[in-house]
Amino acid sequence: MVQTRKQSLNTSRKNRGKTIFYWSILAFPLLQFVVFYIGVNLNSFALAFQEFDMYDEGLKFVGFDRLWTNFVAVFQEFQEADYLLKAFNNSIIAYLIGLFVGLTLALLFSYYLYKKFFMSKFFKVILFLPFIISSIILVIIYKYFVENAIPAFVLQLFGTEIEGLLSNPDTEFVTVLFFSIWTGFGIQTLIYGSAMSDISNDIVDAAKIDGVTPMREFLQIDIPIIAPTIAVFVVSSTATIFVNQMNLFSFYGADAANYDIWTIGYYMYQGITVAPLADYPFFAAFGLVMTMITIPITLIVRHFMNKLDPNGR
Amino acid sequence: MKKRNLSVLNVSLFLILTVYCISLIWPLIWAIFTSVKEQYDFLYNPLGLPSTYIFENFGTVLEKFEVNAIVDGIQERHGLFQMLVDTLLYAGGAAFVATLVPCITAYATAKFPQKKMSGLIYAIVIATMIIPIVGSYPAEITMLQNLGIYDTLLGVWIQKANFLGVYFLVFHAAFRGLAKEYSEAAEIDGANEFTIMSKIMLPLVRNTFFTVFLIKFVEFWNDYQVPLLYLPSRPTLSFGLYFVSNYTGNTISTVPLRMAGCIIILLPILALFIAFKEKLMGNITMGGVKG
Repeated sequence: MVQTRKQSLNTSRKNRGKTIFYWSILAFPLLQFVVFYIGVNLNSFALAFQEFDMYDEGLKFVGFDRLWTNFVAVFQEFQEADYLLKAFNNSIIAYLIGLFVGLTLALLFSYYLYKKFFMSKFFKVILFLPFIISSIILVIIYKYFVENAIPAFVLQLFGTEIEGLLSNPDTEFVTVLFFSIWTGFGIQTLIYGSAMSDISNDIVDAAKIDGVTPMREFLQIDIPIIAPTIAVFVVSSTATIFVNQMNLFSFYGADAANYDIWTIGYYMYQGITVAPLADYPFFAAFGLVMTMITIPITLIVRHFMNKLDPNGR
Repeated sequence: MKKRNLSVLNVSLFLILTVYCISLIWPLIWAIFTSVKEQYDFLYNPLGLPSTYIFENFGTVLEKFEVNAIVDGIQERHGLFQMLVDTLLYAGGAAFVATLVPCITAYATAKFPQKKMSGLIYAIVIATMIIPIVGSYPAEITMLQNLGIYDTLLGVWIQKANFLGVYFLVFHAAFRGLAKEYSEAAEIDGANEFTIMSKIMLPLVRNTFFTVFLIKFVEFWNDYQVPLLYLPSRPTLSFGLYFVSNYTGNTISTVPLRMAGCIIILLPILALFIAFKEKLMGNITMGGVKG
């Protein structure tokens, strides 16, 4: 009896120790989350209902009579400023082209790596380069390359003089979009390749015996098996449609002269780097509007991605 | 390519991959040759090899690479060495906390799955990956200012010390995959929970920890947008490159000098990549996004 009591005392002391341990190591992460995620987003919400007070030189609540003033300003800006609508369209175009071209190439390349075909180790290293090289370095090199080397190359090869691809307004957007896709899918390729390498050899061997062609194996076995990994990328890139700057800030800083190539992500980031405190409420309201548009799109895409998973995981 | 692999798909993929790799390598090689050209040579011969190799371009960049920093409202010039120190502090510190916090959070939730908070944390990680928050920069800046840590290293470290994101899932999977016998044996030997975590469980995932740390370090080393918004008094090397590339009136204004600057900043990361290629490109996989 005495021993049982001792044992139960020990167990309860151990459990108390475990609980203290659990909460003590989670205290900082949870506090950080409360302040920098919940707090920041509540603050963002509150900012959207504030305005700059010139007398106090600070921000104050707009008042219930003018509650939606910042949101009205956002919609007015959309109506009056053509470039904002264009930026909205550019964000959608960059998302769709990035998704279809980038995803298709990433899946095809990952199949090549997974099968360990000729020179796959070398290709793997090269595909990893855009991840380790800073985007600002790649942008600087690419910028001067398409402005100087490509026109010189075309002149040498075809005898035709062409403008730099970024100087020419007709090719500027495509050139920037190409860069964004060109450098954007390498890491996806490696992760898909890694997911494919977990596919059981028995499945692949059975398919081979049944005379399945490489293309059918790729489309009907490999892709469905790695569907959850594909879903992570598709859903997360959908969630960032209006955050994607398409590297415009790296190309042009805060003042890209051609409004026709702006994206919503660029508009917001460049805006906040140059905006005075008085403009913060407008950008906070703008961010909230964009969040409200992105949430349903992301949830719909997630719903469809879940349907692609044959195991219903 | 072996004969059995010679399908139309494989040959086409090989050709596309080759073109892609050439398109990536060609500009890099071009940048290396441009970095040792004279400006005059570059203007009249942007594509060909240098007529004379000017290696002094690298010395000029090392000596003259400067950037404007705003310290206590006053503009200061920071040189390469100062930027290197600030880059190491920012990237090293941020990478460490951005690895440690998801690691220990994942440990607690994987070790005590029966606690309600563990399930909630897992759900939060999944939810924040699929619920987008757009444009919270102004709120983040004002929050940091209110806490008195805006434009400080401590501020950006705390900002980056969150458990959200895919690496929480990576650590969670790693801890769930470890045999319970290790911690149970230590418990029987009288070790407390802190000892079990620090002396037994964390060393077992040290490879994953190091890989995530390296990935994060490369990410922060290359990042210039966070220092630009949240750390204007401590410009990093990437910020410096952004500055000299987008603003006139700085000391390295010619294209060959800018290319030399790119190569100088690229070298340490390239060395890191060569040294830890296998770890950086290791098999880190992730699960789905179903809540």
